[in-house]
Amino acid sequence: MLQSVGWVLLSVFLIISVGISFPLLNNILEASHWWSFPGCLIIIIVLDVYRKDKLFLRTIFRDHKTLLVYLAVEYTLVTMPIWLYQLFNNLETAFIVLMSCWLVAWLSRYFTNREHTSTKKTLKFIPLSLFELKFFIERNPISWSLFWLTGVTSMIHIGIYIFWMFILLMSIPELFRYYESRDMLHWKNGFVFDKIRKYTTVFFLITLVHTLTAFFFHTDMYLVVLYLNLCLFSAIILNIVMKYAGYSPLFHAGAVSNINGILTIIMLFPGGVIITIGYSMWKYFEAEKNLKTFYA
Amino acid sequence: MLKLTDIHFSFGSKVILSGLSIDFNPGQVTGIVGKNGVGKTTLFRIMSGIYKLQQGKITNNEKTLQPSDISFMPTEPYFYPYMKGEEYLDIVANSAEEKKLSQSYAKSLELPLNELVDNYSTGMRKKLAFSALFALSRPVIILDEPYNGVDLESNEMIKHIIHTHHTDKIVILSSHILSTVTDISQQIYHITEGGMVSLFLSDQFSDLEKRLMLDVQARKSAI
Repeated sequence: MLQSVGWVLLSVFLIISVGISFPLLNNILEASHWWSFPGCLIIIIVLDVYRKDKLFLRTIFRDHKTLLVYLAVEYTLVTMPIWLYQLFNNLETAFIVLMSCWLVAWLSRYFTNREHTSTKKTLKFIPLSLFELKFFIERNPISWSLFWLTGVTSMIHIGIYIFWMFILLMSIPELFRYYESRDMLHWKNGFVFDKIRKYTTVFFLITLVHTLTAFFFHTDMYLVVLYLNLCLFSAIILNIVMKYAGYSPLFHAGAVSNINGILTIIMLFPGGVIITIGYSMWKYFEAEKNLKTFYA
Repeated sequence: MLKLTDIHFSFGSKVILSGLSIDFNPGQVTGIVGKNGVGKTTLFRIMSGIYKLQQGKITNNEKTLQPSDISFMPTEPYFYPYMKGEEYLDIVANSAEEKKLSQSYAKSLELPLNELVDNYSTGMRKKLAFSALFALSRPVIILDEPYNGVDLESNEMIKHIIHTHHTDKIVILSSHILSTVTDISQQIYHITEGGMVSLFLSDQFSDLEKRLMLDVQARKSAI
């Protein structure tokens, strides 16, 4: 998503969204400011693991020290909305968040990118009909297993569930970014609807334990849990619909990903999901019509 | 019979095909040759439904040709990222029979199906796409420059597979190397600028070669 939306735009959105959401979340959750540290740490580790320019950066920065400084500066900028907020509220947390950027920059060399291997470990329990999810998870199955397990610990604090859903939500545009080739798409009437049905069911199952845990242990937060679920399923629908509305066998990936990313982020604003749902409904018919021109 | 009647196509004011009419017979391999940019790929894209037909008619056995009737292998096949060769064959195949057939083609072309397609060479990608698409039980198979980037041994294998397995299918292929087309085709269409077409049957292939060589000679002398 970072590649398509762009760092600057994403930073602007992060500053705005965090600026609004942080005080709001603080009021709702009454969470300790210390949660900013694990939250930031998880975000930048995920960014570091999935960034695609690591090999390229290693060719530019021949020595580790320069690369470390470069990455640390980058991650400092990414977490800026959070440490900036903490700077005026809890100075020591801001300092720890800043230190986490250096820690991840130092650890970066140990997070290897699996894309440069000639083979992969196939996860047989995910069917090939869900190839977007299958190939996405197969890039880093251990990270995804750890990520899934982390979410279950939301019984400790609702903040974990919120962060977990936030990261899951952010990964949806990347999941549906690439187009399948003409021959991989087995079109039939209602193809897009069928895909939405399949993926919403799968994601319902993936998040079931976490959602039930959040409901059970934080009953007073049921509205937040419901809203996050609504956001997730809206993001799935939006990204599937956008993928096929812009689909062409001549291109490898969607050119509409900017709107995709922005609409996914907009959902983080309270009530923003309504815009996304409305837009998805409009684009759904366009997606079905678009596929008909190529396959019917 | 697959009939293309009075096909017109243009990109804005640039006319690519103007009144092109050609026929393809089932059980025959038809070659399409022509200079770069005369509209071979455009024609294939129109036939496979990627480009919308602007004017004209495409019918197969008197019925409008459906994109689902066509297996189309583009010049540079595209593959979904982080996918193994065998997974691609599995996804493309519509039945267990097609899957088995595609795997046997891939095996004969010595493809490492257990490896990621992302790391395949140009030739290997071509061979993988060929294995999957040629195994589909569709009446029309279009191969856009199938021999480009493929090693000599595999070229021979591809020719062998096309020659022995096309049976009642219509196979249309393009190539810039004349011998690869003349070796297996029963007829060849030579397309020139604007979509002008000349048909050459197997006993006239030497005439086609002469015609192409004359053009080369004329250009050589102009240097």
